[in-house]
Amino acid sequence: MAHATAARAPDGVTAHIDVSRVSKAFERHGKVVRALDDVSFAVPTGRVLAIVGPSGCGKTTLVNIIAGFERPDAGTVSALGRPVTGPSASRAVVPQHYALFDWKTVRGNVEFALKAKGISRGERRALATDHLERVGLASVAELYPAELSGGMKQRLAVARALAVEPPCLLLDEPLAALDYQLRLRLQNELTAMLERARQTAVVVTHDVDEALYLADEVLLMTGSPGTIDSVVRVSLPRPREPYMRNMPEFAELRQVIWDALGLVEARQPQQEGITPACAS
Amino acid sequence: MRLPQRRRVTQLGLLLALLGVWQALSSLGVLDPEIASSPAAVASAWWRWFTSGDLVRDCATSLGRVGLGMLLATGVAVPLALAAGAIPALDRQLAPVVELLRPIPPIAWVPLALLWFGIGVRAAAAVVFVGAFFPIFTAVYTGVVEVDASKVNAARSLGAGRRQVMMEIHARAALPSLFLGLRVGVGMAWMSVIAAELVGVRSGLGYRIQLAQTLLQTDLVIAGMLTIGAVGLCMVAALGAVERLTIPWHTRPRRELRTA
Repeated sequence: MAHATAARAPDGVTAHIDVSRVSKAFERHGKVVRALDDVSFAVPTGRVLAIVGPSGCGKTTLVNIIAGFERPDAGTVSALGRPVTGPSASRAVVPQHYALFDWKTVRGNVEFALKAKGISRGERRALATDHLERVGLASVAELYPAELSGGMKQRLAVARALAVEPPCLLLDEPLAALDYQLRLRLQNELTAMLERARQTAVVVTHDVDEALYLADEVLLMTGSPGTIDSVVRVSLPRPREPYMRNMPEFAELRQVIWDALGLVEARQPQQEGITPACAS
Repeated sequence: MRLPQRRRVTQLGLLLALLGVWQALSSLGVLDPEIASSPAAVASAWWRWFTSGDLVRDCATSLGRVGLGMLLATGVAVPLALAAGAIPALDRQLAPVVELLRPIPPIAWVPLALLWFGIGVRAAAAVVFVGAFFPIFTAVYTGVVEVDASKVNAARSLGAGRRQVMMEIHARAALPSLFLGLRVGVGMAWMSVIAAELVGVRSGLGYRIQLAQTLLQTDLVIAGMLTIGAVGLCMVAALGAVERLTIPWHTRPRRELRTA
């Protein structure tokens, strides 16, 4: 099922991001790789969509197409009602490995975004400080990215993208490089941030819990060719709270996704299931 | 690179040992002073050269040519490399020209340079230009072309225009490459100017060696060679210092911050 009708915007709600019948193929080592095949979905205003799937299923290609870095071979993408023809500050990206500007200080990275937005030189400094304070980086404003910890780099990438106040935010594996504990903590920060700014967001991740924790809807993709398998609605209220991870609803949704991805059997262990190691 | 005092001293061990062996072989009469003068003779020749004022003049002459040639080479190579990196059509036109001219050693340009510019500073600067141009051009071009595409994309997705991306992403990300090019370029420039002075340009350090050789002043030849080495070393060290000041984000040692 290539068409994810479940993700269609309800009537009367503007679809901020609309992906329609998008296909994209690459040639790699002389072979044609179908990264995306007839993919369609929409993200309504203010909603967060997570895209989950195995490596190589076309998640990043999809985000690159929405961002305007790549053009689809077939199909159309529109954002804010206009066709996407290239990158735009209305669809700011938090890239996979942050893509921080190493040659600029933490402040300089944010000021770059403010300059791109057309903020005058005089106002940039104070505004950059505001943005850095919001993510707790004001005290390291004069350091260079190479001097930051992984979590700080991640926060800087988010602060830099938010500095242009984009109506849509695209996050490509935003927390993949971080250790588990830090990931949990930053998931809380991200859900709060997405709630505060009311952005329309697309989050690519391979972490099922992360997708459920951040998103209103989870798009499941399968690879070669990259297609949409199904869409899972997460009806828990946003912003999410840590206790929600333990709710039965959360566990059920997780199981639904696991089943769809063919990851983990749902059956309870019985005779032939898991037996304690010390029993025999 | 700031080494502890003790390591700096021990680093000179091999150098001092070589000098000792050289002096011993000379004192024992193994080395013919006409062919390889003793370190003591070289030192005294150097001192005579220095006190006459010729050393400073020779160095100033050669360095002036390097300075002029480097300035021209950098001034032409950097914009051209930036443009070639940004404009594929220009790149395609430029590539065959660059690849054809690059293998020609700077010294092979000396006859033409002398014909065009006479025997003065302009001919030497032209040879230096040829020597320094290619390392600088290639390094900057590579730096620009290999700028991390994800950073260019990130900048564009923040709404940065062509100009901001060019000046603040491509040009800045290519700075370490520029310094690499300048380091290699200044080495080539120095070798080129000495070579030019050895074969035709009649002043400077290279000419001094050539003159000393015809007068059978082997000690002065060796003193001249070592001076050339020392000046070259100083130029690269000075460039390194400028690099550390200019791009601290690239060379500054990392302070680990482990608070998330």
